[in-house]
Amino acid sequence: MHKIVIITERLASLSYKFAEENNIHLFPVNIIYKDEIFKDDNDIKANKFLNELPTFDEIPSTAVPSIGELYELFKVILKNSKEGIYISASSKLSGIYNVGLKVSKMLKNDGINLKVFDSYGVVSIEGMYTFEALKLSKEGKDLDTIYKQLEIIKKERNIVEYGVLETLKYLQKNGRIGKAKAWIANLFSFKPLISAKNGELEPIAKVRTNEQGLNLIVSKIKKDLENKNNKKITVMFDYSLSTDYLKDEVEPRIKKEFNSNIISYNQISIAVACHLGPSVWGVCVKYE
Amino acid sequence: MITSINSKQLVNLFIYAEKSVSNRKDIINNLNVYPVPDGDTGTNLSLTLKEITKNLKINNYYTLSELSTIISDSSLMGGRGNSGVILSQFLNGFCSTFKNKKEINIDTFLKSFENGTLEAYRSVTNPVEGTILTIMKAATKEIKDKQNEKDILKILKSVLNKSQFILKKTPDMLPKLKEAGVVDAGGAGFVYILEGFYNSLIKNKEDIFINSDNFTSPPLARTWENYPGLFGTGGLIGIFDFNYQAIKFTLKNIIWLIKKGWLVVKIGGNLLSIKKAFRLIIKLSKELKLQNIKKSNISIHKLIQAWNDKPDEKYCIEVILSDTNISKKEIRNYINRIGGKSNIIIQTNNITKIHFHSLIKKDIRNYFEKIGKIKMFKIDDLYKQQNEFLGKKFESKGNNKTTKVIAIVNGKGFEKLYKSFGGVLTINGGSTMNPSYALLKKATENLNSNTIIILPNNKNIFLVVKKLAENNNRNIKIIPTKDQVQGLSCLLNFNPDLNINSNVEMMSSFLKSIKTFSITMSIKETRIDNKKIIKGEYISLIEGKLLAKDKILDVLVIKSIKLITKNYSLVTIYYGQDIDKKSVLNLKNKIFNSYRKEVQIYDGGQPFYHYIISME
Repeated sequence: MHKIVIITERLASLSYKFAEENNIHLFPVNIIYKDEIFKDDNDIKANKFLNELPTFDEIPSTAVPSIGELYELFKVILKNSKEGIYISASSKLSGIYNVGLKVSKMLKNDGINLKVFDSYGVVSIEGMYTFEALKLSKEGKDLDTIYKQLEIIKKERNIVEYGVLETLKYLQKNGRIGKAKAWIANLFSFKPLISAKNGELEPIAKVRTNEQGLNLIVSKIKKDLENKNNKKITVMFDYSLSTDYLKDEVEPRIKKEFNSNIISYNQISIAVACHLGPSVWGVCVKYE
Repeated sequence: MITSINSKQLVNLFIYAEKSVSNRKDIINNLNVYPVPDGDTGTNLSLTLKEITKNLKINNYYTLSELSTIISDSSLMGGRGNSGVILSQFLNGFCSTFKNKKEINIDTFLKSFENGTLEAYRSVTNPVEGTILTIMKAATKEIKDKQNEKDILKILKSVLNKSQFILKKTPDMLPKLKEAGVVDAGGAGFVYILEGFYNSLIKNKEDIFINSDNFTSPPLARTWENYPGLFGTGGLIGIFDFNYQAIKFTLKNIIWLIKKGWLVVKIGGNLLSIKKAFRLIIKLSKELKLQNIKKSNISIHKLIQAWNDKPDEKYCIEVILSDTNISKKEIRNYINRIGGKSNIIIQTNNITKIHFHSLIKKDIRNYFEKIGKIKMFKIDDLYKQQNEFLGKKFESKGNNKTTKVIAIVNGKGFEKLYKSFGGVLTINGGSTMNPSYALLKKATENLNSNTIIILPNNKNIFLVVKKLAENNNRNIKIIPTKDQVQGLSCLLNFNPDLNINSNVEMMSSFLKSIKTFSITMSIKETRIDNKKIIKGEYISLIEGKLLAKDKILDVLVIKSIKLITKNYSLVTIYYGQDIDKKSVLNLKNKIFNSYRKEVQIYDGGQPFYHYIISME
């Protein structure tokens, strides 16, 4: 039986090491800084770019690969397998989903069955869906079943993420600020606490400190769990420059409050940092 | 006369189209407002077209069949971003139509556009009008309507005109475009492509090249573009008005820049801060420039109003009439009768253009419908525009469905902070923070809202506001804030668009997360909580009880912070009136050095208390 190939972008916060260990194919998107194109296509580069971001003169912009680029890449990845699933960033936040769809149609002519799943998220939301696809594939589920399962999870909102940013500046500059636009002109300083809803960024609250953010996130998860029968949660953490706050405060609190299984600490891609800022942390939760 | 397009002309069509889009790349990029995440539309379209032209060599001979393959394959492979992808699908349908023909005659030309548009619509899961698709559709329809014309060049000219016209309408089809004051970026790109097509076929260099810039990036002073007046758009008066406003606008902002820069210099007071001031001015002027470029499609009238204080008149009304017998004077009289201001009326040929500001919008359209044929009628809410531009939420006086907040404050700085949130009415509680019941009642009555949240900011008035809520037929809820700082923490998550109960739940959850103490000087010898206080000694008070005392102000602050044992990460200092900002900055450094906590400073302007300090 051919193995089902699992593909996603580095936008999903997974590291290349994690990807390699778990047989997931990761590809970078393009980062444009001062007319040069960069790709965070390995872990060393990814970490280096992220650390340098605060020192850049201007905020870089991001761009998706062209149809041709992606087609060539996927053709190589799927060469030996003929079946795969590409878990893409939210179609509402990136054009890559549409590119993925086009490429999937082209691959069909080459006899390759590639399903494209709109994760309605980025960072560890996408990472969690990828991990779930991996789990199902290991259990021997076929491609259609895996896709349907992911759709069910999406419909029931069983993968969510709550994150705390340092500033709205990056979101505002690169345009994906959405409903949080109303928060811009505020004399009183705050950290935005955000989530994702229907594929878009959802502003939840303005908090003054990380502690307030953590308290609110815990209460949000508690509220989510009221409707679920199984109180067990699977967790992935998103970090940018340092894991300190997550390791010192967030993980112990999550472990204390919930029956939780923490899978990984994921560093966000610089492409995401260009939109959220270089100082963010997030908790991605999968409900059973 | 061009009755058909041969392969050599087809190559030129794309070479000119690529140049047209690439030269206008930045203009198109500036139109992006992300209704669909597309990145930079201008760059994407330029790169997609470049992918095509790099495979077309001018002096080579290609058959139409070869060109069909080259163009559709290159655009597919090079298709970038949503707009690039849609274009490549259009070109796929376009090229497949003439693949087996020897030349593209008028009938084939129409069918190519028809197939192209069909493919383009098919390629999008949720086709939306007001995008590049709409322009493609309009262009195709125009070719169809002009099927009797024998000259392709003339057809293209009217297609280009029609497409520019539809492009101008895209803000009416997509609210997000209207909000941002721009036309659709993808649509603009397609218009530039059509312009390139047209220009490539013109033999005589003296023939006018239609410039689509007027439809994608109009100069600042446009309020009506479709009908050129005397001496160009808006007429002579329009030009004078524009120049006057432009000079006023520039001067006003220079003063603002200088004011900001001077503030920085004043704070520092030494050579280093002049450098700081200079840097700040550069930064501010960059931001100003950025705002201008982004918003340059909004007519100068709206731009001016955005920077001014709240305009007196709420609505900006623009009308274009034809076939009217009424004189300018009579129209002006009507406008004055209804209390309208800043009116501009221009009559040329058969067209009358009217622009004015008014407090009301009722029945105005009816009046104009009676006196002539309406070609355009537009009402803009100036308040909404201004505040969207400034990023504020505005308290729309007419709307009593949104929740409002009443907060008791004391201190000019606190008043400003509270007011910076939309939908908040502040009442000065005086130094005892104790407004009368009558004053509070009057405030709730004047507030045009049926759902009100009150932040008392003082334990003393809990009972008073409770009585107020009980004896009122409006829905009044109280969040028991003990001081202004706690009130701010709660107010941070006030959302006027949510219902009152959701607001109260969210806002109340922040009551516990903050601890506040105040610092003042004892005016006489006294005893508090069994401790003797000397006159002139500084004391810190928390929830009415004595926290600590010291003869030196800064030492007291450091001492008091230490006494609050829970682990807080943020210290915020609100300094009172007459406090020297330099001393506050010194204090901030001391706190940071002692405790390594983040320290924020705000001007509270409160009397009596030197510092109000919160820990979160």
